[in-house]
Amino acid sequence: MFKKINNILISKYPLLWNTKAVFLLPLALIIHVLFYLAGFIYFIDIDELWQHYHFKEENVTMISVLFSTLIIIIWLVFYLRNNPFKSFYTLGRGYMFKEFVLIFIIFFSTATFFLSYKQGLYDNVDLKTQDINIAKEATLINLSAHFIAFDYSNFDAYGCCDSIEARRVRDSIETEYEKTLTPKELRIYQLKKREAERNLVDTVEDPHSYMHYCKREIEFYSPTKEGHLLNEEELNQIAHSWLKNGRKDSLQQLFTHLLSICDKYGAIYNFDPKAQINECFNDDEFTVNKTLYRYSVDSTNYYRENDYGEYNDDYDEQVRNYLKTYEFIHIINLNDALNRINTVRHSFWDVGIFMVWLYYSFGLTILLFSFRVTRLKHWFMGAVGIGLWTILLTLIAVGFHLNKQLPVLLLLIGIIVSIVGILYIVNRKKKLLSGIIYNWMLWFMPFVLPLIFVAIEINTDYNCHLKEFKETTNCQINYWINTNWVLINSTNMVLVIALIFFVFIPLVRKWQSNPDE
Amino acid sequence: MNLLFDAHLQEVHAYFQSGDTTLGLRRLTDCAIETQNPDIFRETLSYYEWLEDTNNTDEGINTARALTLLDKIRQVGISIAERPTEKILSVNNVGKTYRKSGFKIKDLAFNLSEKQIVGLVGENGNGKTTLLRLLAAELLPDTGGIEYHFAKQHKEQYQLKTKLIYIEQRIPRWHGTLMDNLRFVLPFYGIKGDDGHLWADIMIARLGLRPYRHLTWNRISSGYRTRFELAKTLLRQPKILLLDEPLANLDIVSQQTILQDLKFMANSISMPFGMILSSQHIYEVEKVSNDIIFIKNGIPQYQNNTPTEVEQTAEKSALIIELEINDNRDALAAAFTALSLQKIQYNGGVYLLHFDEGTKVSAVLAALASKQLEPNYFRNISQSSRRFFIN
Repeated sequence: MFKKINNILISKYPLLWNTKAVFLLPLALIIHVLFYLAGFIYFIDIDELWQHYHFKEENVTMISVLFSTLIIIIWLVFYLRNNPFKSFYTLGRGYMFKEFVLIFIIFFSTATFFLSYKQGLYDNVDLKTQDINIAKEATLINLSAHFIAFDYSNFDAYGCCDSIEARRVRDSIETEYEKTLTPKELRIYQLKKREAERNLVDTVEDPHSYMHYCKREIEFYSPTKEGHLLNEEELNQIAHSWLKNGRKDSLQQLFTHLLSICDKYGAIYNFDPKAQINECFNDDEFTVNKTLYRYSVDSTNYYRENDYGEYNDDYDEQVRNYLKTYEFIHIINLNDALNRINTVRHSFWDVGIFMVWLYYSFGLTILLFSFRVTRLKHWFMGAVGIGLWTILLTLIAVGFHLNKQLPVLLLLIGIIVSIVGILYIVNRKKKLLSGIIYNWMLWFMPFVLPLIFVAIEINTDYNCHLKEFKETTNCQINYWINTNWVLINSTNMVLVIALIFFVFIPLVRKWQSNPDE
Repeated sequence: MNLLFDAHLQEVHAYFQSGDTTLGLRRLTDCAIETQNPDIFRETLSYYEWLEDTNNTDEGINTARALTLLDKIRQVGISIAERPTEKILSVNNVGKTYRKSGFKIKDLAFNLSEKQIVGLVGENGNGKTTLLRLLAAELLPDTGGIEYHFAKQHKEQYQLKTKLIYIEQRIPRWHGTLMDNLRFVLPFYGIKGDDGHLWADIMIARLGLRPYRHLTWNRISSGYRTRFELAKTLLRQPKILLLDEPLANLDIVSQQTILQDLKFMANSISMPFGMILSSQHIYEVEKVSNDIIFIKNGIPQYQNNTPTEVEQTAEKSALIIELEINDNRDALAAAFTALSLQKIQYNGGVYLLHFDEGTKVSAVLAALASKQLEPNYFRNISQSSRRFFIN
């Protein structure tokens, strides 16, 4: 079978035979599937979810990189055996371009096995937690936090919703006022305001009540699929109503639910609901007399020891007894667990990841392609030359304090060196030097367009944060660049591909046939 | 009917009839290749297989089968009409100087046509490889120009170099089996699928590589590596073939075989090419070359090596004999007192005897016989470029 495929490829599709793409791409697909399955069948219990910071992706990423490296090295051993271009076989620009594309696909397909693992893992957790309504549970936890003082300072008068709202309104008014000031006036005004606030804070009494709390314990980094999550004011209204109406039964029910959620997600606690209800209703002002620990250093240590497997019965017993003296709910675990469920419900695939993946594969493709079409000596000397350029430019930039001018300087040098290289190639002169420059041009090319925009961006950002400059063309350009990097990078990709086909392949064909001396 | 092809077929027929079956088989394969017909390729290859399988020692049966195949080849014929050979290369007063060493190639001027073979001889370090690299467009001439007439329609220099093939003395290493490497070449030249396999097989058979076709670089001798490189090159249908010391790795029999084969292939009707080869094996190169360029200190000297030209110049030039004999210089001088011997040179191994213009070789031999001197080796080098090597 293998021999038959090999015979067909060698005699009909020499590019596929040479690049071994027919064997490598299915192999990459199989490895992707295996990584996906590894992620999918990875055992994660719901009560362990809080422990899985990034789902231990670091280890898998390392394994994935090792796999990719191994595959690429083995592939290179076979791929570099034959080089029809350097042997002057009859081949056109199209063949070379297809070769470039195939190399790119190979790098692209073998670069990111860990993403398949991640997808598998996400699907795994998503499947296990599909019945959980995280918005409902978060709301329940957030409401509970109104009746449990984890942080004493959140229950003072300045933490209440009205104060927060008043502060927000005042801040917005002040911000509008600040916009009318010159930079110098602004600095003086802000100093004075800070001084006044400090004086005011020092004079205010500090009443702490369960009525004042206006925060959300659980905040999701991205919206939940269930949609609406009660906000601080809505939660505050419910809490007010329960406290004012003496709804101890509702509170009892709420705490029961909270503890069942804690049990579900493996969040330990030492919490007495009845005692806490009494604490909430201990006077007419609902004064906070007691705080609980959100987590304790001791309990963290206790679990860390367990994580590392150095479990000690005596020590465990000591810690257990010690923890009994504290009232706490390891509520941070709930936050972690719910956020992780929410994370897996959102695809991690975004333009950013895709761009990084593309650029990574593209960079490797360009490096390999340049190695393939020029000679080892030219490639190696080109790499050394890049190092020397870097040192030289760093010295110039540091010596002459060129920060904003550096991209322009880079572009200028790049353009001059490229013109020299192209002239040498076209005039059939200095093959060694022109080969080195060709490599530099090829390696530098993907950075040209982004560098142009970087140069413009850093030279148009003066005072754009100030209102009087916001509407200037400079700032508009700056804003456009900062909000359109995806477009710029995508355009750059298309441009680079076009340049490879229309400029770099014809140029290297010319260079390859040029005399050595 | 192509008359030249017909003549080739008759030549093959004669080889088999006279018992020169090895040469006949090689030429028979050449004729099969000329047809470019897959069926003929298959028949020829099955004939090779039959020869290998049966190991038949009965020449009569072998010949009968070969002649049957020859008849089939005649029936298929070739579709290419006869045409005059075309000039493919003009070298016009080319000069090249190496700045570091100061070595120069001066005033190189000659033409090369299809089917023409030019031998390039000279001592080491006198510019043979430089000359070949100039012709291979690997070096840029400082003066003069090189015109590649076959590539005038090519806008791109790269296209020119696909048909201008230079084989260096050190054969570049290849990976994989010999057969795979040959098959890989063919799709680039429009020969794909089964046809590609047939072309690779027939070229392997033609160059005597069948027993080694599934072997790799490490497992075949340097002589067979040279043959493989030639097979690969010939499949690329070159217009000009430049060979630097192709005989260096070959034994004496292989040297003669390869040179003959190259001459036959250069003279192909369907895929003719011109060839320039450098070598230290002067006599072998002279046998196959139409012209010889002797190069000394970068200065070329030209010698037309066609039989008529050789005969005409022989009559006008002095006679130079290369002689290896156990007797000493005095004995030789005494033997040739009746002849107009001008000079005797001895390099420790062989004598070089210089006689006046008009001296006959037969007279020299008669003089040796009359004195009962018995030469171990005797060669008339009056028209050979060997004479240029005399210090």
